[in-house]
Amino acid sequence: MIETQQLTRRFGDKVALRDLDLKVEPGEILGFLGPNGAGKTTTVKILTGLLEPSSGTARVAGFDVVEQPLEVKKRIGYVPESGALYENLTGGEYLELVGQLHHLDPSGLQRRIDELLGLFGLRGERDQRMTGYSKGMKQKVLIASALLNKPEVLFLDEPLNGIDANAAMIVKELLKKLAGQGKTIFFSSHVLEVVERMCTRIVIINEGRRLVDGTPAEITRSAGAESLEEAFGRLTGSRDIGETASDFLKALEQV
Amino acid sequence: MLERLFHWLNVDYRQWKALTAAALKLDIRSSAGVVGKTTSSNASGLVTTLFFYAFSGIFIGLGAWINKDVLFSGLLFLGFLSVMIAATILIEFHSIVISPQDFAVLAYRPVSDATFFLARLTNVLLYTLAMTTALALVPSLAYSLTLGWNPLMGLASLTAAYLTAMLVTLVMVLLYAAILRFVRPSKLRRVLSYFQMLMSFLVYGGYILVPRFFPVQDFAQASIPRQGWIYLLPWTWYAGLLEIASGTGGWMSYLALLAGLAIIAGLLTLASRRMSLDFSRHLNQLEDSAPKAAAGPRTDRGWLWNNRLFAWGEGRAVALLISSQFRHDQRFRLSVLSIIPLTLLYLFMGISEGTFNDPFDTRQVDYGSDGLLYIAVMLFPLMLASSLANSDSYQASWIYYASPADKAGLVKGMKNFVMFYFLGPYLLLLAAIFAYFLRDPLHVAVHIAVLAMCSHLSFLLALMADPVLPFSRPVRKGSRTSRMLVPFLVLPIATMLLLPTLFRIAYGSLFSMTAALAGLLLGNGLLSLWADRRIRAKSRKLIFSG
Repeated sequence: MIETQQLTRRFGDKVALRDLDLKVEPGEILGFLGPNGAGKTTTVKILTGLLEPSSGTARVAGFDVVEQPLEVKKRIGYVPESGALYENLTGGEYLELVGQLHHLDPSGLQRRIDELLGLFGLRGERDQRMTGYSKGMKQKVLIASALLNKPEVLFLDEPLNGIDANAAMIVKELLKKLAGQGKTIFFSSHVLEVVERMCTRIVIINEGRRLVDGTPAEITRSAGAESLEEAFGRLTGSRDIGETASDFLKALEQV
Repeated sequence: MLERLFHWLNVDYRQWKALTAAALKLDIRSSAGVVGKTTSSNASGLVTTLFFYAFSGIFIGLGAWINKDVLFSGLLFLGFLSVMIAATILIEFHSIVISPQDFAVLAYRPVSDATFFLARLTNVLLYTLAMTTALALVPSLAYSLTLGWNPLMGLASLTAAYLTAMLVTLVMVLLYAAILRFVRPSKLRRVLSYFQMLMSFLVYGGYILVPRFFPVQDFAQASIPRQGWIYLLPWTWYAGLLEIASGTGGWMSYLALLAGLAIIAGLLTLASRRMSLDFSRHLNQLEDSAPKAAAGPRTDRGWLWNNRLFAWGEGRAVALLISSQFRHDQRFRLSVLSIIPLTLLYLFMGISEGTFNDPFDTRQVDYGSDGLLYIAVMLFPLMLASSLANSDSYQASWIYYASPADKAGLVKGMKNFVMFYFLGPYLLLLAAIFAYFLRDPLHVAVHIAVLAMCSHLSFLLALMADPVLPFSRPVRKGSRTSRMLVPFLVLPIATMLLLPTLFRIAYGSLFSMTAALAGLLLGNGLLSLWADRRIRAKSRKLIFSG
């Protein structure tokens, strides 16, 4: 499970995350939404040990992320937004490296790598360097690496970026089944349709603050909107979409 | 046993093994320039560097063979090795030490700081020790034979070389670690730049200047006094091994060696506490602390910026790119800054004698240290072009291929930028120096024009051989060193042979001077036309490296 209290992160004068209180139970798929620069990635980075909070506390899988970062990292899987990989390794080698870092049993590891790559249709590319992979293929390797150690908590930051529709369906189905097994899933995304369909609960943040927390239906209702998309627009104060598009066109014509 | 030792050091053996193996694979593949399943035609930069080290070792071996004072030749050997290792880390491997990529890939994996440190250190040491092996091969053979057949001497020279390489590597790593630890991210960019310049001065300056304090008339008979101060030099600690192996070592040799070993152990302990993933985290924060760009486009840069060469089109694009990369790309900035001290040192060496040989005095046959000035003029653009080609941002070069930009125009834009903004000021500085010594404005003007055209010619030839788009190639380990070291060997020799001859012919009379100037001008013009066609043809074959 994930639990944060008064979690805050400042970058100089800018407060990227402000007093975030959050609790995600095992078996839940939490959709974490917000416009660009709202503090989503900062939150994920703190929870995965990439960034230290300026104040407040965060516990993941029962361990404090600042005090016991290694214990946390042993129990999580993470698909970062800008998926950094050692691209001169083959897909198989990269997953093997991740498996070794998690102390997975060598023979079981090979089987698991094979299974995961097969699941994503990458078995044939296992021995090819990732420099030759497409964006979607790299994303699939990242997802596979996040699942390799059978994590208790899974953090996904825009996980479906660049992957094809078939693989996306597999991932969505897989996440539901993992939640069914009692895993905690933290799903950060801009794609509202996916979040709405997959997540049992949604939190929307803006300018580092939590705006709402509830099921998609509750959020839509409380915002007085007809869809989650409309509710998101109202809550995060975005401009009228038609008006913005017209302004864009005008600007382009001036170039 | 190794596992138990690692456990004692709080290092995860299995993780260390996996990280080290992965790092090696990455380095070898990145050095060989292999992309996907397609092997590029570029030879491995690492192999070239190792070959260069082995080649340099021949001269050290000759020294060890000719001079029978093993402490003296050992000091020279280990001193040279130290400079080479430090220079390689400065040019090439500071990125291993301060690689932010590791943070992005490993920070959320359960890897402890101690394990990360040891894997990182192993990676750097594997390189420096491989280079040491290449350099020390011939000298170790020479030491085995110099005082009669004694294989122990060969072994001792190898061990001394490894210990020295380890010491230099640890010192460099710790210096970088100290900066990253104690400097705030907002100041890190500037401090790293200054540090790179300072270290370059120390390394290259030491290499060029120190021998001047120890003039040796007869190398074969030269010897070093066994006085107390000599044992303060780190190289003496390990060179003493040669004395011990030859049976001439006294108690000071043993004591110095023990001190040297203790210092390595101390540095290892210190390094294990200082270097961690936290280290990469600091570097990663550079992005957050990067100075924000001024709002709106900058249009008021004056004539220097808005002149015809860089006012529009590809020339403008390249100028904007290079100047922005210099401000924000740490690696590019550091590689440029490490060139400046070297050329300034050449400049200093050239004028340090207090006199400057008038190239118009055709009775002069020996240009001596003045020649270094000319070497710097020829080397500077080439070294800069090499730094311009390889970049971590190479994947952004897709824009060259996706836009209707003329690739040959981009290559030429890069050449013009380097000539105008880097070589230009350098030649102005030279003009001031020449004006002081020659006191003849016409001579100065002609001489500078000749140098500028020669430099332009060599730059054109280099671009014709290998036209490259700015920041378009991935950084390959070893490539920078090999690209810098090969010109270091070839160009100075060519310069020292060709330029004095050219001066002698060209400055003999007013007629020959006019003819030479016209010839150079014509040569530059014709070669530019030829280069234009060749670069155009070759540029069409360039492919996106991302």
